[in-house]
Amino acid sequence: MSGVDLSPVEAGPIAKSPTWSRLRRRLGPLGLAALAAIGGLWLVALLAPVLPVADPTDVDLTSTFAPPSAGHPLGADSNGRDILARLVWGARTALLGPLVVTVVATAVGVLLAVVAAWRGGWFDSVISRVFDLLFGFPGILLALVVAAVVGAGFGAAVAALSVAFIPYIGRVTRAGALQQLRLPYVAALRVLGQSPTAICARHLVPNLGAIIVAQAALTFGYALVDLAALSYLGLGVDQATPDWGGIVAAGQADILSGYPQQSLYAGALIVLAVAAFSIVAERLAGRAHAWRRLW
Amino acid sequence: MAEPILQVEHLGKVFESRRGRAAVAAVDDVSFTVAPGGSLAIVGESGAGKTTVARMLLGLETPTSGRILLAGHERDRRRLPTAERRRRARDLQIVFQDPSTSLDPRQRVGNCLEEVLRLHSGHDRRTRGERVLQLLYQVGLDERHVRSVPRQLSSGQCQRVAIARALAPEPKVLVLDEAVSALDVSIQGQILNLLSDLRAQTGVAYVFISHDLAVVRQVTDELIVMRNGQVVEVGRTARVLDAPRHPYTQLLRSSVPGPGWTPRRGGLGETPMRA
Amino acid sequence: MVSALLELEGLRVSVPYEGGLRRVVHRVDLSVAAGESVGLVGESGAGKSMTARTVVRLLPPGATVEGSVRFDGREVLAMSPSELRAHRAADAAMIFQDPRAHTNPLRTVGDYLTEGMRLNQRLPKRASQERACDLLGAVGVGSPRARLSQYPHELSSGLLQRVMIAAALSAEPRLLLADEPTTALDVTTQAEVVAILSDLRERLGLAMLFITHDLDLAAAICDRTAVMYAGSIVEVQGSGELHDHARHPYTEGLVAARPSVDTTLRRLPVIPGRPTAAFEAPPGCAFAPRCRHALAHCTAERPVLAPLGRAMVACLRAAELHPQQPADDEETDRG
Repeated sequence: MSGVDLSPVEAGPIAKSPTWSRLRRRLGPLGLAALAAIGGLWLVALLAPVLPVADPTDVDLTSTFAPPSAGHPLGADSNGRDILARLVWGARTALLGPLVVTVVATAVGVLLAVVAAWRGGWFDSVISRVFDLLFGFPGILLALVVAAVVGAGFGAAVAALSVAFIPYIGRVTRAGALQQLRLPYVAALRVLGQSPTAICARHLVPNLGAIIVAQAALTFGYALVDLAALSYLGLGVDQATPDWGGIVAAGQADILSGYPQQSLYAGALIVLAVAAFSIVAERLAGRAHAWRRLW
Repeated sequence: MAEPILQVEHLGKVFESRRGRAAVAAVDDVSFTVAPGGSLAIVGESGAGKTTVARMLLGLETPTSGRILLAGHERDRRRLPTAERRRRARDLQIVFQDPSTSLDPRQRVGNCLEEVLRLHSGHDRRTRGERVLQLLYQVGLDERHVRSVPRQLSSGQCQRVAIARALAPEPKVLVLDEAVSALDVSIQGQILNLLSDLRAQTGVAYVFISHDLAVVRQVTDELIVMRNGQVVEVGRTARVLDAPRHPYTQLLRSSVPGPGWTPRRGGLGETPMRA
Repeated sequence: MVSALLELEGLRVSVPYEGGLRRVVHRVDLSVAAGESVGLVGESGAGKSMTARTVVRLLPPGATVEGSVRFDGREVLAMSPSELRAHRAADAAMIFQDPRAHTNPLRTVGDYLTEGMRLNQRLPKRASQERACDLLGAVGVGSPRARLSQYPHELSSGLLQRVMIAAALSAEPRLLLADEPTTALDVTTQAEVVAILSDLRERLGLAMLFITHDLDLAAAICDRTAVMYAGSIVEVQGSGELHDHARHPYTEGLVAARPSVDTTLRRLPVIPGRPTAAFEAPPGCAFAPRCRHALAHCTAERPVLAPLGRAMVACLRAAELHPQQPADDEETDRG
């Protein structure tokens, strides 16, 4: 028998800590808190219909600016609508929009990036210029242009932002892909006769997973702010549907009257959500300490 | 002598000039043959062109001149469609130097081998599974390693997996590009023995690229010495190492540390400046 | 007896790993006399690099060191930051395996060489450049003045390694710590660099601690060689002796496992298993699981370095496996 590899010293693979505890270590206490906050917000958004809150569209002009009470835990707005209910229901559009933007931008961005990196040459040049072009249009500007052309609305805003965010994910993924493609395992797979599609889909993209997820988390946060801003400007969600950005806008006038509550709470939630996503993204993208490889 | 399994004739590769750099002939008129089941070493230092030769053999680089004949088929120069690459995978495979980056870090060993078998054999799932185990045993591993990922394996074990993967399509020629250079001495010995055994068992031929003359002596029958893209000496390994004829080979041989060796200055002079 | 320039006593090093600490140096006792060249040989995980780094306290953040590191009688581990800076500049210099990783690609070779001189020795610019040219000449780099304005990427690895050696010598250290300086170089370049090091050592009376995995290389340029396994030294001998008369089973295995340029064997005798680090070692002798001479008591008791003839060996069965010849007792043993 050749090369005896089965001596007691080699007994079994090295025990590796499970993915969850490695994740926990990566995120740290702040990252975990951020993850919990994100989880909480999603739960609220999903469970809104069954949560014990009032109807957010219930106009009750007898309760305008009502202080916090049993019926209105956070008080009521200028139309007597329950603020808590509007915030809870607002979570749905606030989180759903960015989700669509993130999924679309990630899918298209990753696809373009992988094709550019793999094919190189002319493909890479064209796609990189497309990215550069899109970079020139900040999300909101693009949304304004789209709104001018097809009219305002949630769908238009989401579509515009989806396109605007493609280059952010695209560029980072392309850089990562170029690096991975230089590694010998890719050459080995080509020599073994594996098809480029299979190599990219089954090997390249999974190995870029960490980068893509981190970038996606970041995109989510930015998309959230941008959509809220668009709603604030009246270009996103229509006035009747509760949305955090819209709530900030609606409550704007009331600040001067001495009722800053709705703008304040909605604004705070936006900040919380974006901060949480940014923290998780930053932690996930963190790199292993170089010293580990010394010995 | 029987028909050589691999025949390389006047192979050349010139990298075109770009932005102020002159054109570089990385490989210049290189010819050699490998007998079926034989073992040829390509020896040289960095910049000699050994890796470029390997890449041309593998179809990762297109030669600018010369030709490569494997089992009588000419390996032509066009960009290859996947089906053709797949067919060629059964002719020639490679094991790379760095075990940690030559395997997909996220893929389990069993899946890695199974993927290759799926590409090349028509077997059903169960037969493939058996063949995976067979390959693992052949390289000195066992079923414990089926579910491991490269991170969990030592470099010696990773290199064994890389060898198993390269043997899965049952190639006629195996290119080993500094395949033991990154391993510890005691592990290197194990892998060298493994390679000798595999050649005896399967009849595969080796093209062994290395800068290490002692390793080359142990595992190869024939040898070519390359320098600056050209072949400077050819012959049976033992003969070339015992009685080198070309001054460069003599220099290489005299630079190997060993008992009674004293390093001397002014052998080669300083390495010329790279542009 | 001449007092040693460098003395490592009871050295233990642990490094941080995934929230805890891992022992990488189990116990090292070693001394280097002024002008002496000592080789430190071992495979991955032996702890040789960490041992050398303790001499200049270049350890990863969070690492712990116990024991004593005395340079010329002064305890390095107890030095204050300014004393440590002076020590690193003037007493002991370190050169590494990959010169590119240790040079700033954005600064010229001249800057790299003269920075230390201008900061630590307060030499004016022109004087430091002169000195840099002298140093480059000493390491065999041609047209030194032209080199000063070049950038690292314009130099080959061999040249850059010589530049690094020149930089290490700029402060006139008394001890050179070389961590696998030629492993990444071509064999002819390696021979050149090794020749330069030997030459400089003779001329300047430098002591050297040379780390390598190559026993043959250590045998060629070191006066004495220490072999490390799993964080401790298992054998120390005069280099010529080590190759032919290895006393520790691991050293014997290492010598046997290496193919020879002169002969072909049918099969190489191998050591089963793989090299372990200190934290993976079982109780008792760390090498026992791989040792063909191991007996029951080898797993119970951890051997310590003890003299055997002219060598120091850490093996419980050493005396038994290598019966003393009368000739071995002629000279009193030196550590």
